[in-house]
Amino acid sequence: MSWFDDHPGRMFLVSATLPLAMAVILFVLGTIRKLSKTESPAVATAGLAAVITMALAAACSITGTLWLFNDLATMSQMPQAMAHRWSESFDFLRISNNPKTQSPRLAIPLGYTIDRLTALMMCMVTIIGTLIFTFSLGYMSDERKRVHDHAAHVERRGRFARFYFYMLLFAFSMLQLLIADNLLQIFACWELVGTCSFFLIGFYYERKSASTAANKAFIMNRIGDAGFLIALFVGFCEFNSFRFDHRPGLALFGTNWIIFGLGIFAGCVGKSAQFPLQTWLPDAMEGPTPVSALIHAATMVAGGVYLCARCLPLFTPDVMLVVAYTGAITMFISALTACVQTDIKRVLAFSTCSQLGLMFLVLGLGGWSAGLFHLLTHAFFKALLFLAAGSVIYGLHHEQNLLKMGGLRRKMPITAYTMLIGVCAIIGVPLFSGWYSKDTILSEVLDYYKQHGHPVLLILSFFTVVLTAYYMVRLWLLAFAGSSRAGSVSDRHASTVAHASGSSGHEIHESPPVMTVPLLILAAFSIGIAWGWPVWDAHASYLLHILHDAEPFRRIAPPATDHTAGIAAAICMLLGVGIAVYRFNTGTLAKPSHGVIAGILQHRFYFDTLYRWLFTKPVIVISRGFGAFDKNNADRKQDFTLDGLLTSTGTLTGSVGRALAPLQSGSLRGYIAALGLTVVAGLAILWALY
Amino acid sequence: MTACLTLSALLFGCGVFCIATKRNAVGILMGIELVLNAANINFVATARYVPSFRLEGQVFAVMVIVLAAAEAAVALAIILNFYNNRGSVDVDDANQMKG
Repeated sequence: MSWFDDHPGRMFLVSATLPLAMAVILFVLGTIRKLSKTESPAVATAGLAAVITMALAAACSITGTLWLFNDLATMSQMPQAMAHRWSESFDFLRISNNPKTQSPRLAIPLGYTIDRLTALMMCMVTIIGTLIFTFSLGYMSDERKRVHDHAAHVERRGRFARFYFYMLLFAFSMLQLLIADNLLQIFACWELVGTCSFFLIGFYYERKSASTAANKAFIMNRIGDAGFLIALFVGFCEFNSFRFDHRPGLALFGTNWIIFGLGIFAGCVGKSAQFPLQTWLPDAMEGPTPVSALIHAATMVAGGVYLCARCLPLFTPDVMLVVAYTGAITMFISALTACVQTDIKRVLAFSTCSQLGLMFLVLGLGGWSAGLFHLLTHAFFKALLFLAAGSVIYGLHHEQNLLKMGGLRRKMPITAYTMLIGVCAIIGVPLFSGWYSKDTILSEVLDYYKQHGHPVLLILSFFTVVLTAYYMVRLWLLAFAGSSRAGSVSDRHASTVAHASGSSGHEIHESPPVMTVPLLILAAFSIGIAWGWPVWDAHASYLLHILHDAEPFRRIAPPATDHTAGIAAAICMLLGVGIAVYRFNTGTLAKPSHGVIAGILQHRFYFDTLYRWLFTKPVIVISRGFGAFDKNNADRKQDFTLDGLLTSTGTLTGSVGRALAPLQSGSLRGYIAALGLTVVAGLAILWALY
Repeated sequence: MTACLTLSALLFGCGVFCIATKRNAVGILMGIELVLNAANINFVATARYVPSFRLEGQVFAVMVIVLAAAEAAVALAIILNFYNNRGSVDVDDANQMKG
């Protein structure tokens, strides 16, 4: 065990590498199975193995975190010993080594650094990952046999093991992203996360909507990544290193730093689905529901916030303001859009956008610990909400329309009440985890307003609290309260299902324990993750204090201790809940909304249409034009088209060959004569020279 | 030494002349043997007169002999095939691939 004793940080390294090891095993076994062409139903073990792997990773992370806090308590006076114990690095690639000093001019490092933030995030990702993996054992059980995909009208092999392979790879990339100690390594993991999300969103790739959504997510992320790459280059020119550990007394002025900050933030915007790249996240709902839970809660979108928080000390004040306003805009428009969505998963998707916007808003205002606090609490209750939605969808045989649900709380009580806990947490009901983090954020926003102005940010954030309360309560009421509306809306699918199967197995039922137990655990986390003593004091949260200690820049002003923002937020929240309950009681909630504003909202502010006309269509038109031009001119041997250029290359080679061919006369004596003459001439030249 | 080199040069000249003037493929093969043996004489001569090449010269001479044998075998096989196809061993007939 001395391997761990000297470097306890390796605990996290093991935790981050375990999923990769399992993914490789699954890949190899899957390939063997494919090659041997057996249809054996042994794939259930793949899921179990994945769950155990994630549980082991979680155990490693938790042990490592406890160890870290122990070290922090005992060794706080010895920063060098701490650094030695909790970080390791070596040069993966050295370019132009200087032989005298043995120091390379350019070195690409590979290493890990563990601090409080990394430790907490690792625990969060592995715990949520384990629960989601367990949930998927039930949710994806259809994939164990042959699947008839109704949406795509194909019958195919089940992809149970492949699902777990992608999920493990996804978890691995995210964990590596968290422990990475330099920006280049983060970028590599960043791309891996993007690739895995592409595979998972396009999991049902026979459906056109799924493959399109996967492409969209991938392309939108690439746009942001371009900014990230530029920031990497700029940062390397400034630092001559990819390591991002903040240097005290660093002068952050000049255009380079603004470009650096905006570039990094562009990457975060792409990954965390912020305005103007937010359109991919709702479409990403095409993936299986556990994937949505993993993307939204633990892995992908959290990556953007994490990176933004990591690089926050390197942002100039201008960039911070951009971050804050982008967050505020996203938060507001996504919350508005969520109010009219009828797909249960889309409501949650927009709420994720909105909550991430809230995090970016407060990060931009300098509220480092508040933003990350909300990231951690949000991860738990968003995972809970998505898994509960998955349980509903599973129980209703893949029905996602809220208007066709209703009255489910009697049929599936565990799902209903765990989801209610999630809803309470996200809208900020006191004593639920969301209350603590939202209260902290709103206090930060209020403080900032008092000191620097910007009333728009304040108004938007409080208005969003109203909207959040409204659409989340609306979601819960539509799905679980009242009586079932499945019969009232003419639903061809439901009636055919009822006809085909009679009353045997196809009625609405509560999900099996393998799905409800993760829900219960997540519900416990959603309530208690942010508790401190005293519980009723919003600023006493234990988690928040840890994050305060982890903050890279200490501010002079202590964190807010008044409760003005909290009380205002509670009033706003009650207002939102009140509107939702009132509309539900009068019966207007369950009707599809019409009108101009509802139309705009339902089309998500026409962002997709705008991008289609602004970018996609022009590119298609221009390339069609070029294609037609090329084809028309290919016969006429014009050299300035692409075809002409390629043709003339071939023609040139041919004519040179034809010109040289007569030299091969076929007469042997001619060759010998030429050879002899050449030798004589060569000797003569040598003789003349010397 | 000089006598050996002169002999070798004479032999080489004869070989090249033979290759250049003969139309018969077997004759050309003989010319090539002459050229190779001219080289062999050089090797043996250096082995005799230059102390540092005592061993190398002889080894290379043996190697050239082996090479010559192998080359003759291959060349005769080619000539035989050519004769089967064309009914002659005149190298002026072997011009199918001229440009």
